Amino acid sequence: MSPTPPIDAALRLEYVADFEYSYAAGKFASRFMDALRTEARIQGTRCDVCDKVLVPPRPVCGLCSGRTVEWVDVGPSGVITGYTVVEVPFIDPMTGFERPIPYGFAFVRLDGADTNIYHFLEESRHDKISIGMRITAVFKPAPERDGTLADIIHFRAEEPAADE
Amino acid sequence: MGRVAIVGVGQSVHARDRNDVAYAELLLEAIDEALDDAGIGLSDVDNAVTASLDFYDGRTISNMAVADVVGSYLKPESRICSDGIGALLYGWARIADGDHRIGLVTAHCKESEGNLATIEGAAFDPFVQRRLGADADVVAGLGARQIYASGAFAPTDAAALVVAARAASAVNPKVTTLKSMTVAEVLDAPRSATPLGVFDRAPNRDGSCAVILATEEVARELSDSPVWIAGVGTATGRYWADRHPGDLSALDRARDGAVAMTGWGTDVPDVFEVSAQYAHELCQFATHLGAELTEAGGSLNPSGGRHAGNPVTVSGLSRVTECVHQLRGDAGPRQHHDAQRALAHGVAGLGAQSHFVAALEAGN
Repeated sequence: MSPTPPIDAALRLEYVADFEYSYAAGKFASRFMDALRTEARIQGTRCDVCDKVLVPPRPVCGLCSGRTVEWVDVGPSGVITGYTVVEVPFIDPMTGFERPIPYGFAFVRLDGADTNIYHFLEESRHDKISIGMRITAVFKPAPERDGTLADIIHFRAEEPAADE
Repeated sequence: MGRVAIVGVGQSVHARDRNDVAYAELLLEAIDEALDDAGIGLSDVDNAVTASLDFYDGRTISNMAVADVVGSYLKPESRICSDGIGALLYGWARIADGDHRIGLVTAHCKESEGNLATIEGAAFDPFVQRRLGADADVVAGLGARQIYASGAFAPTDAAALVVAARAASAVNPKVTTLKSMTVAEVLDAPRSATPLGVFDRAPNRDGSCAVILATEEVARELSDSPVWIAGVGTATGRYWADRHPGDLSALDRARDGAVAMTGWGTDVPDVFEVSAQYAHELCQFATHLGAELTEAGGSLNPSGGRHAGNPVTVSGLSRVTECVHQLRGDAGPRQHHDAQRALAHGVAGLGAQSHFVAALEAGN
């Protein structure tokens, strides 16, 4: 009998796999993205039971388990409910390129909505961003929109901050 | 320990590519049907157990994307990464021990959205297996060779089950109708990993299934004909590479555990719904459960089973759903006589490592 001998160096095995997917957006996200692309409209669905408007749209209201039955326009303006300024560079999955830092990133409660979406802010200076601040969506020009969330470039202050 | 009944069942249509719906929407189709079947609303459900696999859904903790459609906000939701019949066993335990009254059990999978070879390959040990590029077909081919060499079954036995499943697809409204085939056509088809051909493997599918469980008290309020979960059993066998594929100790234990809880004695179940991804496995599993292979399409897999077209993760729960229809006598053209007792089976893992059995019965 011989015991397991000690090892000189611990083995590590590199593994690279390309997990490709073709995601079906489905009925609700497809219509949501189509309205962004064709009309620069942001839409949600209203719960038939608790009347809350859910953005992005979905078939079931998680809050009360009711069904949504009505599509409604929301935004394009709303308020910041939370934000951060990102200072670590990373590859923007919407463009494939590194997103210049710093940039603002916010939870946005669109007018008429009862849930948040999150998106980029045009502004990245801490002293120009605040919770409760009103902002509005900036869309790409129609020919450039492709039916993705990138059709909204970012949100910017509804009243531009005065330069100091 | 309280009795647990199945008071509602539902399934989406299972098809090769349900690209018309996101996976939560696909699951909602089954849930809506099950709720309607039970005569309750989603808010009546007090807990959910879901079955799904992150790799197929293409996102981490992918059950969180169905939390709203299963109605689990602020309620207990648990998820298993295995066959949905395992979720049924979990959901059964929650109600049997008295903690809950009405439970929703779901399973969903879209085999069309990811790269199956990559997903299946990721299941292998990275050091001694994965680099060799095997997939589920290769593992099954190795196993089938051993099974056929042992003389337990022949390729014609397996091909006959494929033929029966494809015929049954024509009377199962929840699957797409498959082209009918003869045994010779199955045997003459191109090989995938010998001795297996391309039709030995169940077709890849997108689909979902939902089952609603209830306490005896609730079940008697809701239904004149609840189906009772009379017994459950599950066991995991040794890792596939360490086990002869003819060793079905795990299935035997799951079966014995489930049947021991029933009062069936030596009575043979009227219906067997058996899940297997490969046809030679179906020969094995059905025989171990006590079914006659010559009964395929009759008392064995009247639904057609997985070879009629159900995805991984969902197949075992689909077997439960069919048993419920059979025991309620509402299986339409698939109805097998006056079924009173049924065994539903599910399986998970490479080389059929884990087995689940639910013993179901009609009556009071």
